Amino acid sequence: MIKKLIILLLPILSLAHPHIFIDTKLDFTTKNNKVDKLQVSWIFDDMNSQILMMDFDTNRDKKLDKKETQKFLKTYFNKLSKNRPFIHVKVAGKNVSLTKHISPFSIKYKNNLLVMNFTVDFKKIKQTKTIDIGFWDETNYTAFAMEPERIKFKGKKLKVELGFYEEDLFVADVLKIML
Amino acid sequence: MSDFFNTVLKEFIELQQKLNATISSNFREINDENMLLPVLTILSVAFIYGVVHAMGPGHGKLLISSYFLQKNRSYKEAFKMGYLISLIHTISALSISFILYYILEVIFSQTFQEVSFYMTKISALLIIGVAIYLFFEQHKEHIGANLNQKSDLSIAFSAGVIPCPGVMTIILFSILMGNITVGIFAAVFMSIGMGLTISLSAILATATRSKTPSRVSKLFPFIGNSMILLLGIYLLIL
Repeated sequence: MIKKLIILLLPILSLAHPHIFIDTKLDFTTKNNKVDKLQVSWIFDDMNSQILMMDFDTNRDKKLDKKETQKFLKTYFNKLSKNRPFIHVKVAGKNVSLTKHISPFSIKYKNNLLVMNFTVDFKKIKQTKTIDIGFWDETNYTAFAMEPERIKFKGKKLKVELGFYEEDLFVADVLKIML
Repeated sequence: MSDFFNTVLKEFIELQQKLNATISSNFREINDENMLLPVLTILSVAFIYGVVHAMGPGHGKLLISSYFLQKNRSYKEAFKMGYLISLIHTISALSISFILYYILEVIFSQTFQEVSFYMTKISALLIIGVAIYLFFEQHKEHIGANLNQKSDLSIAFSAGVIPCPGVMTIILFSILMGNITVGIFAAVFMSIGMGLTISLSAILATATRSKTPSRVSKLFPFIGNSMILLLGIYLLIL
């Protein structure tokens, strides 16, 4: 119990200087002017990729097998913050729960970088007006960056706009899709 | 105004990401034939990274400025104190990284946060202790306590004892890249950069004090020390 409490409190310490930098890559597939699915890649920075591989690639074969991946997800993402995995989606300004629409995470180690991939299936999500997609860690231990050149569309390109999610002393990128 | 602030904050995070990436990519470029340029790049970027990194919360800026508000001190003393904190901060990070990696062989990315947590609690208790000591001294000598070398050292130690996570990451990365010497030098340069930022906050406090009329500044020992005490309590219950 005490350990759990401590682990929940840990990220608060980091406040505004992030220690893990993640570049996000978004690949949308569209159908009838709606989002059909979204493939997300989180690319970890070089330093943390090496440290995480040292920690979790226990057999040192330069990839994370099923067991290692599970341990990674369990230790790293589930324990260190209460609201993993940092994915925030809003439709017409309202939060959408993604539990039923999100694929399991897969992890690859490529060109010295750790990449985490997952897919959000939008088929059964009712889409009206706008969709906001953002990734952020309220504790700012991990900082996510979105860049226009890493946002791609398969099918018709929808109108998008990069903006901010903001809260006291905290800011994150948000992609707004205009339907 | 809020947009301006957000943009600045975002730029600040992006800058840290760029500096971090420049350090890691230059570590990869070091080889027997190509040593000088990547090493010089790492050291200079580590210095800038230190300056920027210490601008974030933590690193003892609030503590040192509250302390320097209390008594007339010279800019030189303020400067020296900033560097003392940075030095202890870096030594703490270096020793903890080495212990975790070579002796305990733990899951670093997890343990390193647990260690930071406990060190913050230790730091909080030390800060509260120093605040109580300073209140006691002020009471004894009335307003304008004699802030001696002993209290300078305790302040520097209580703030610096929290290991700098930025330094820990660089050190561990350098070990994994097989270039620990460059990693240690990078940590030293980063600490010189951090010292500059921390010193600046002490210097600003000193300047504020000297520019404030004495009828107001006679309240500073009480205000400054109360801030130290509150900071200690905040870190303890955080």
